[in-house]
Amino acid sequence: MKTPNDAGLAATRHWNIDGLPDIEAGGLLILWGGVLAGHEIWPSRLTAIASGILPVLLVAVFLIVDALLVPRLKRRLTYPRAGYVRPRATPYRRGTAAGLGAFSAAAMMAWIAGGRGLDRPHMPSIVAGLGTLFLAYCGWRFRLPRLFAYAVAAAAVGLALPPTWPPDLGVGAFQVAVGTLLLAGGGLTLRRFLRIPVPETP
Amino acid sequence: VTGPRGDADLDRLIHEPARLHIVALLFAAEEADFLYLLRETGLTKGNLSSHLTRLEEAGYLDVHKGFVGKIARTVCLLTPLGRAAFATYRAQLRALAGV
Repeated sequence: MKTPNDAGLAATRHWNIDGLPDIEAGGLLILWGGVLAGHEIWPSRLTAIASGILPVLLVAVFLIVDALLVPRLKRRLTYPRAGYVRPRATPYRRGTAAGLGAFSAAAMMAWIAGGRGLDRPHMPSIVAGLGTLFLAYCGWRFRLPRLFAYAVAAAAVGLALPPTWPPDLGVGAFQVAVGTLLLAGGGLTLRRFLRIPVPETP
Repeated sequence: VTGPRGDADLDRLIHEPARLHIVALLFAAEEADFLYLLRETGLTKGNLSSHLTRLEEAGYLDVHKGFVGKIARTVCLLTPLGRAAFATYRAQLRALAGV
């Protein structure tokens, strides 16, 4: 029998069983990293407009995909094969997600609006280190081995970033690379998951 | 069920092991379907179905039946009454165990 904590963990693990959350996170990271890496080449007027709109737009797109599209896809793809469960969004989880989203959007606004405001040479290494630790923590917390594989690959990407690149480009490139990794890993997981035959109607 | 001090009037409906498992699973979820509960509890379809019916009759559970394409789908979620009952049950058990 499961305790409520075990049940919560089971629900979260089940939510990640099909690779859709990886695809969702990967897509967002690619967009996010693309904006960061690309803003240096935009005209300054466009940068000023984009600094206010793009981060908010990205967070809004993520929230819409997370709230509407992913659950709908899960009902169509996951349910017939492995059952459907939507983990409970406790006030703590909602608050953490909203805080992270707001912080990320604010950080990106400040970054873009300030031009090369965060022009510190070690920024890509710091972001790569934090990203690797976050993936490894999630792998340990949710007992999902593929997240450890992402963490190892993210560390390798971080080490491979040329130190001569501008910090904005380095951070953006890291995010695009890890996003691509998540997208590919999620796609493979989903492909493997869809090979499971649909059992007879419960 | 009365505890050693006579003050723990445990909810018998939740206290039954299979139903306790079902309610604990649903407590951690917004909603879950029949197949998920079947996999996680290891009960037979008939057994799970009868436990769900008892919980539904007590007002602890909402059961929605529908179709996704041609596949039947039964989604279960705890009602506020069911959540409150399970929270009370947990608190009573903690009090009994002295934790």
